[in-house]
Amino acid sequence: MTVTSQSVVAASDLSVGYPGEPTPALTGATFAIAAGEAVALLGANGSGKSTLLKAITGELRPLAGRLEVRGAVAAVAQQEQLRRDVPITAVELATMGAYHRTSLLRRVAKADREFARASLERVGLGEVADRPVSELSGGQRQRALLARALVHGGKLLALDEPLSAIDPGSAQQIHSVLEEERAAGHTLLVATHDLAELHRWDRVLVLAGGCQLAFGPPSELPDDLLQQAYGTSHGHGPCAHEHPPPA
Amino acid sequence: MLARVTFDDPAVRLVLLALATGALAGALGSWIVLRRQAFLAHASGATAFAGGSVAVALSAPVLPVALLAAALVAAVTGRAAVRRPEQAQVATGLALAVGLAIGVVATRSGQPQTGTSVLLGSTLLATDGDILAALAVAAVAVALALTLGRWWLVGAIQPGGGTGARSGASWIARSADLVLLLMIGVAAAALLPVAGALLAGTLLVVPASTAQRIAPHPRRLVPLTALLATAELLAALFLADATDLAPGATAALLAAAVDIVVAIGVLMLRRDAATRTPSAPGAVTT
Repeated sequence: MTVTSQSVVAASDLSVGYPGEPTPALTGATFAIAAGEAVALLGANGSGKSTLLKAITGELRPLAGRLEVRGAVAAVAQQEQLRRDVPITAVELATMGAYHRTSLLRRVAKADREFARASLERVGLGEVADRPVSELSGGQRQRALLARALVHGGKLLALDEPLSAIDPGSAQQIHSVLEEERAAGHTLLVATHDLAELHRWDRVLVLAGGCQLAFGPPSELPDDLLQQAYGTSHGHGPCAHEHPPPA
Repeated sequence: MLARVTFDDPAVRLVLLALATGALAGALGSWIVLRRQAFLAHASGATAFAGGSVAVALSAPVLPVALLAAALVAAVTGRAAVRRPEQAQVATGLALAVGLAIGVVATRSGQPQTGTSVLLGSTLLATDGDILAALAVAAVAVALALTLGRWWLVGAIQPGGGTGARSGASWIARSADLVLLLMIGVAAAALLPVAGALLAGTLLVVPASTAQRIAPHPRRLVPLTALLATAELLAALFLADATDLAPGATAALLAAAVDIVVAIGVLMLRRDAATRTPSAPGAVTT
């Protein structure tokens, strides 16, 4: 594992857990993501993907080990976490990405409001920008959240399962925007179950049962590793079966 | 002095209390409803009762102690709800039950009349200081809603999410949430003279719930709630004054009646609109 000054995220023997829980949800994570890399976070539900992303965005604090994150993080949560009964429009949701740079005593700057509309155009939601989020499909809501992250800005874009339970058109649109962000030099960390699209990523971080199984280029993953990550039931506990990371 | 003359007039006292309540309902009640924190508002009222009753038993000033107790419990319970959502209802219910129990025990050892007025409210026993405090809390709530409202909306659509420490928004998002929780407690305590601890939460929540049926978007919900709550309170306080009924109970009943009427009206309008919409070509009707 090489941690360099170019690393945007570097973790060493990282353990993360939730307040009040007796055992960590993730233990022993060790990896380094360089600037401009696109990394997929793989693993079955409950493997620790969301926990790791929450640690990286700063929602959870490490229980042990070391985690370094350089620069601001723009996070996209799972769209299921978005409440639909609050009647805001897609453009209002996207504009929220500019709140952190807006004075409390001022309204959001015109440039940021235009940026929010432009971001919605980028993710293919220009025509429904003024429609309530509750009336959008799951894929459209996911893209609206991505637009909010684009407005937010940040060196690292961390997305929690943006491709789950969405239509192929939305998935393609999200992939296109991610490619553009990568080309612009942004670092991507994306939790996904899309095993058919592994070739899109520079490296993959594979988790199972709260343990890191591997971190490396997708072409170098052991054949049985993904089967192990998705086919085996793991309890949270000591990570005794780790594969050595590919060189 | 002008303030002295004004506050001696019973009608003006009622109007001022109604204005304060309306402002609190608009500035805070709207967000309580949007963020599904109605139960917390009721628990805040109960802990204000506990604080107020203990103050009565100790011959201490009622309002400051009630404010402090309600604000602290609302903040602690509300933050715990964000961190452990699955236990939020239990924690809030516990705060409500313990608050009422402490209040009842303290009332028995203090001055029963004052203790009862803390529980049920009494505009007759409201001091000039109580009215001024309610107006001051309302002014602060309006100012906070104007400055922090957008962050309260962020918390409403995605509770506890999207505002991690490395988002650049962590400090302000968490502070805004905490301020709202504290203000819910403070508002519940400030409404003790109008509605008493039992119904203070109701006065914050029900007008907002009614307004939400008509204008759900926060931009329209907040002012409509303030107008509706002020109108309901004015009507209820003058009705209670004329009929010698408890003001809080009268206001709560009136607000509930308006809510039911509006709910039925909205339902009928929707059904009417649905029946007027022509069926799609080829649609099967039975």
